[in-house]
Amino acid sequence: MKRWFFIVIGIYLIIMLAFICFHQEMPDEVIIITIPQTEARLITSEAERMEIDVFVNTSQSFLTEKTNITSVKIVDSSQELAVAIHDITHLGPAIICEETLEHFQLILSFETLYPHGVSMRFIDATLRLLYENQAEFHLAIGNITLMFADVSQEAYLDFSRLYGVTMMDETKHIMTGIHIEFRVSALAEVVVESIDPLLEGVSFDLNRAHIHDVGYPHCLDVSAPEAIEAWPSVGEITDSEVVLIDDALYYFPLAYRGPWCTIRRFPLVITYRYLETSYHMIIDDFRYYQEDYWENATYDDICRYSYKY
Amino acid sequence: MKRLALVLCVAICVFLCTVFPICAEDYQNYQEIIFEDDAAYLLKDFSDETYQNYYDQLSKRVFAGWKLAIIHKNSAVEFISETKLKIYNNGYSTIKHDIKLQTKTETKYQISASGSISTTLKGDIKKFKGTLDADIKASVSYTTSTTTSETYEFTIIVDPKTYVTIITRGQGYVSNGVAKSYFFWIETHRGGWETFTITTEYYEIIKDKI
Repeated sequence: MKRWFFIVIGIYLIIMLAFICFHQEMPDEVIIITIPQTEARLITSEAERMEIDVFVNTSQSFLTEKTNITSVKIVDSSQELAVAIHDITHLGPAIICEETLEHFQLILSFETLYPHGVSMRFIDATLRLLYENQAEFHLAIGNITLMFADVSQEAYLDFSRLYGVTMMDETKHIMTGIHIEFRVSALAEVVVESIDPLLEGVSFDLNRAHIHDVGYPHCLDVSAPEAIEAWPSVGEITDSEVVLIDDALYYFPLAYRGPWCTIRRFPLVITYRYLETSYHMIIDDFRYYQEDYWENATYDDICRYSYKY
Repeated sequence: MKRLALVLCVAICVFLCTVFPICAEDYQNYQEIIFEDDAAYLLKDFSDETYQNYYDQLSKRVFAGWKLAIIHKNSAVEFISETKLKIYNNGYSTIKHDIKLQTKTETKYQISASGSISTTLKGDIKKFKGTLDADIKASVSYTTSTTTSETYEFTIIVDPKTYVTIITRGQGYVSNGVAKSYFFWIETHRGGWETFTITTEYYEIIKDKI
């Protein structure tokens, strides 16, 4: 009987010791960091997803549990859109401003509401998350444009090549423009009236559009003399048109209304004229380049939130 | 009859709207890797002389553990990857394709080894066996971030008798060198090691007639 007593006590002590050794103290403060982006998406169906990166100081907290979230909305000063959390994925550690955080992706879906044909431009948008325990977060996500439409192209115009051109501004990539080769299937001339990337504060400068036979490299050497031609425009730009030549590789420089911002992914809404009728060609949001943008984020780029237990 | 037509329509839609996932690939299979520094080269181009010269630098024996020599440290490279995707529309009507692009950690951070240095898979991540992995990580800035994967979808219309290609180019850096391991001052392993880290990937889409 005595032996059994000591065995039970021994097992209890071992379990307690293991618990003390391996139990991780939960932080009493959860830090969430977001890095607002300028991005535009063409949402072609309810099944399409949109990912929002958030960085948290712990891998386990109620904030990153999908079941605890009761409501999600994309909100700005004048409009809001209810979305659903499809999933929250933990992608592993990431270093932001010399701090090691856990990288989560909130995967949003548009099953709640799919306003077909609507284009919503959220300026300084926040993602409003409401939790079961009444905790509420307004996470800054940047300038987000959502266009709810399908890709489309008329018979007169198509593209045969598309890629982005970038340059390095200190440690950050800045998109300078895009290369696009059109395929014209028309008997009369086709005129591009505008190209809209749907990005807030960013447009294309058709005045400086030109044909480049070889094409600029994906990352410009800014010291090269020819790079000047490819630089993006700054400030307000005037409207212009481009009469298209078939199978020519066009370069369309971007125009930044304000300071340069990092953009990587956006659709193209190309408005063109053929026989006095206007048409639209919509190209889905193409990711022109991919990088771990958070690695180069500065303290000015990040938005920090805290929740104390 | 109506029901049959409906079933046929659904079957055609499912067939036409297909998703094409694109998987990770090995940097050894890239079409081209160009170093910014002309003097730099990859592990596969190490000559016997290179190996011998650097092994000689590691001739001082230690009780136990790895000794490593770095030949190239974070040398900037540009690369042209393999064609990520090629889809054909051989039919007579336009097809809408949903293309799913996925960037995985095993593509972003790649390693290779030669000689008696070996690598192992931990989860999806390839690592050098033993303590060599930690020694290399401490010596070269490698795997600072370990994001597992990122996926993105792109919808495109492909005309009849046309094919779509997606290719990637990119930038990154390469570190390589040689290493020896000792146990009781006896050399147990020797070989070359290399890490390949992708920092930026650029995507290009091409549509062409068959």
